[in-house]
Amino acid sequence: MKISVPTHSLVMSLRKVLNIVSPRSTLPVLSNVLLTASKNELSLFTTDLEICITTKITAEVESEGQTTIPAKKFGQIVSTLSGENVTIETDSELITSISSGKALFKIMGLNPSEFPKETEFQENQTLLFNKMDFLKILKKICYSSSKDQTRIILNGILLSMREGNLTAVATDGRRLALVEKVLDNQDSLIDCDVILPSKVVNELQKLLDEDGDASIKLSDSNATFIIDNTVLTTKLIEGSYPNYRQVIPASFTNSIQLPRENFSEVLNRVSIVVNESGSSVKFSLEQDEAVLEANSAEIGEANESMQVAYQGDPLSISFNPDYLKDPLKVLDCDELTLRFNDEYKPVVMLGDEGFLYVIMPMRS
Amino acid sequence: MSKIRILPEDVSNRIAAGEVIERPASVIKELAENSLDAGATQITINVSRGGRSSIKVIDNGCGMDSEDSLLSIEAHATSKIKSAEDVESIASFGFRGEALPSIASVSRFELRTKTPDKTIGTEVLVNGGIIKSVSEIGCASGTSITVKNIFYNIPARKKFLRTVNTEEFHITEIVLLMALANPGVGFQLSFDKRPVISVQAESNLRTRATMLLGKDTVSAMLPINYSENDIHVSGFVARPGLSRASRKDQRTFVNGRPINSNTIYYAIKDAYHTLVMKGRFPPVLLFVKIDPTLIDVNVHPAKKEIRFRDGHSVGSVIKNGIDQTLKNIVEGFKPSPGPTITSNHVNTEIKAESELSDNGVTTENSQSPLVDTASSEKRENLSRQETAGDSGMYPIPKPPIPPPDSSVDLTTHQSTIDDGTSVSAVCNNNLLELRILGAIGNLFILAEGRHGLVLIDQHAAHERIMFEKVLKQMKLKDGIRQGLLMPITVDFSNADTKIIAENLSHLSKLGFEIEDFGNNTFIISAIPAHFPQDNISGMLMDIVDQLRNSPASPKRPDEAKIAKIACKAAVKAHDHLTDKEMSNLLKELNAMELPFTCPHGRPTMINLSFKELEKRFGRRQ
Repeated sequence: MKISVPTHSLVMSLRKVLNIVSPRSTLPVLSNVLLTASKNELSLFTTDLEICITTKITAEVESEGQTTIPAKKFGQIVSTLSGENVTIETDSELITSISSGKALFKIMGLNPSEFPKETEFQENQTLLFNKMDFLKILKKICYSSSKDQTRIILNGILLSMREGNLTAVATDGRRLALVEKVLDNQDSLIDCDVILPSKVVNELQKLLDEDGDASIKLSDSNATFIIDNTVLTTKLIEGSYPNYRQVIPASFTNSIQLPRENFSEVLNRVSIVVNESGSSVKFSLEQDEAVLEANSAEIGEANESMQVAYQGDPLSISFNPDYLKDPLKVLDCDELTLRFNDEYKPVVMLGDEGFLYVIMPMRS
Repeated sequence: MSKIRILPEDVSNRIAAGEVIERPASVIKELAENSLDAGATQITINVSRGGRSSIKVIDNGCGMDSEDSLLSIEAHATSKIKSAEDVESIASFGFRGEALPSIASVSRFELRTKTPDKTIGTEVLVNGGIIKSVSEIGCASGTSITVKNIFYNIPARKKFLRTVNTEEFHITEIVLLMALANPGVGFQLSFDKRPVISVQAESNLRTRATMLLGKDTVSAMLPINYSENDIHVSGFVARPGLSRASRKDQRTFVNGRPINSNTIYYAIKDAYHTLVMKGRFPPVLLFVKIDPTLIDVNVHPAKKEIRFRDGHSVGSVIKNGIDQTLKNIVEGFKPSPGPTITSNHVNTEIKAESELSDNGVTTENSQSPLVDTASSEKRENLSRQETAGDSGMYPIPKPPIPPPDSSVDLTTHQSTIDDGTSVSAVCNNNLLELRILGAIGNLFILAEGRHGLVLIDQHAAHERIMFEKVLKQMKLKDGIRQGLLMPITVDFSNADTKIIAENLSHLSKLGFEIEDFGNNTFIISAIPAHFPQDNISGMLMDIVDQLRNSPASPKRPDEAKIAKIACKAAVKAHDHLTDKEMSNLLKELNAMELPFTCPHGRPTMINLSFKELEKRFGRRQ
């Protein structure tokens, strides 16, 4: 194999595939990237056996071929090269020469035949979506997914297709974020639920960087995302997602409107005095006034009030401040709506179109 | 003909002997316990060739008449209980009526006994369980039993006898335990006519313990005396920082009987939580007194194990007792807050302190070569007493087997250890009185105290301060709960279900909202907000395990997290501290509940006494 590629495009492509490489593996070849040169293309392929990703760039191919070299080292080398183009050549001993300008590296590789093959599956359906729209959906919910390794299902996010509607859900059992979106221009959609692993959600957010369309192929156990010249295939998390509809209260006794940015600023300010886990902020409502309060035994206390249109009985609800802050960072709307019943029942936050957030209060 | 038949008595006795009589030491245990049950005040034990040749136990107890002496070697013949109800409340050591026939069935057995009111005694000779002769004999009041050629008729068992030294070691340990448990009885133990243990009847446990374990050991421990719920705990427990590599020096007794009980070991471990490192054991000499109806001794033929009817409360009393004792010592160091402490109290504290400063310190031989050379002289005196297993981190010179010639005059022998002061893990200085000299290596703070040079590990010390601070903050947050949107169901075993049901209020205080859903299933609808948020069911299982093992005060699930926070927040080794920072560190450390160790159990300070320094400079012998 002998090829020449522009350095910049190689760096950008490597960034897309490097994160999939697992830092530790008992299978040495998994630390490598598989390079394949054919026609006028170089493809880069990595996998951790759960997720695999391929990306292609145009290259001047002098001779076709395949090799694998350590992915992280390759990434480090290429990102520091100053020459405009990189020439990559592999000899029969699996030694790959990487040269650019006056720099020359000779890197030892592993046999490409040892590399796992790309997962192939028969898809049930293919969905088309706008990249920016999908990125926003992921950003608005992904922070709510659980990090608890004992609850694998909640580590992922749910994509639920029902009668032409997509619902994306993430929850850690204490709060839940959800976005609903009508899928237009899609014919004959089959209802289905898929749970994407969190690693995929993170990677997708990096791949969905510009406008345009992309597609998802779905089967019962796998999903493939085709985003420009990158293809990411993942196994889905098996199991059924908890019934998230059940945790959303059917009715509320009260509802208030808050300016999002102002509320966010006040919340950040007040919660400076609490810094360790397990602290709460108290949100109190009185006639036309909302007060945010926080205190900690070792630092002190803070409170700040905001004007709101509220006519109900006085009420205070305690929250984990992070649970309130997280959605405020990713929403675009100017006005937020908070709906609640009492200090024990779940509180709902509404904002952007299709967005719904449920928080369970803290209590003492 | 039926295949099943009743075994002849001699066979069943030999089988019983297999359970009761394991080795010569168990013969001595059984015989001496009989003597104690007979009200003896002096027990003499002569052993030859580690008990292989002969074991002789002589007491001055109540003795037996000729009829009883014959009955005593019948299986299940005993004077100690009369009815099945008596088994429920056993106050004597023996009760099974197995020991004498068992011993008699595996040896050449001679029994001589006389009651004080008779002028003539009885002699019974038994060979391998068969009575050879019964005759009248003139002898002193009491009972004397000689057991010769043990296991002569069970070659298989005889093969398992260890070397004379090993058997002697086991015998010494058994006699030591009995002597500790019965200060009112004089004990004499000799091996092949060499006296090994020789103690007079005493009224006081401290004297007895000092005689047997050495003054060093005893004064390095704190007396404990605690009662709760009609359970009484007394004896001695290790000062913080003193620990051993094995459990050998945790000697525990229940109603005077040496017992291995996990309930007790767990309670000790809990009480010393964060005070000893993992895998280390604080030495204790602990006597638990409890209503005999609340324990079941009839679990193990050799009675090494017992069952508590209410293990939880026994464990919690022991733990509370030790806790209080350990906290008292810390209080003793602090400047008296005012006239609230009676002068009497202060005096005893000071006395205890000064006594300790003299001898209550421990040699640290495995760590620093400096210490080794310096105390080599002393080591000479001790070398014979130190067994190989004693080279733990803070081994206290202690004679598990006192050297033969020392038994004649134990006090002289001990006086050689008296001034053997050296590096101590236990600091007896009021930290506020320390004069800070500086720091070395940006790691150890050096200070002059009343008793010598004190070295303080700045990281460990600060870690302890941060740990107690964070712990206090966290405790304030107990009860604040994060509601769960989706309640979690957890299934438990029957036993665990019971524990949870019993501890619902404790769990709710921590911040759990748990509801019994029936069929061993529980629904958790809220969890403590400050505990780790992952793996909730795992955390609850851990708490249940804690509650089972040490119901008194289960370890907090967030303790590891707190220790980590403390470790991160603490000044590190090689951080430079100014004088002001150092003195404040000591001031804060002084205010801690348990200042002597870091949360991982490493010592925060070491005391190098003047005596030790003088010795090293050759100013003192």
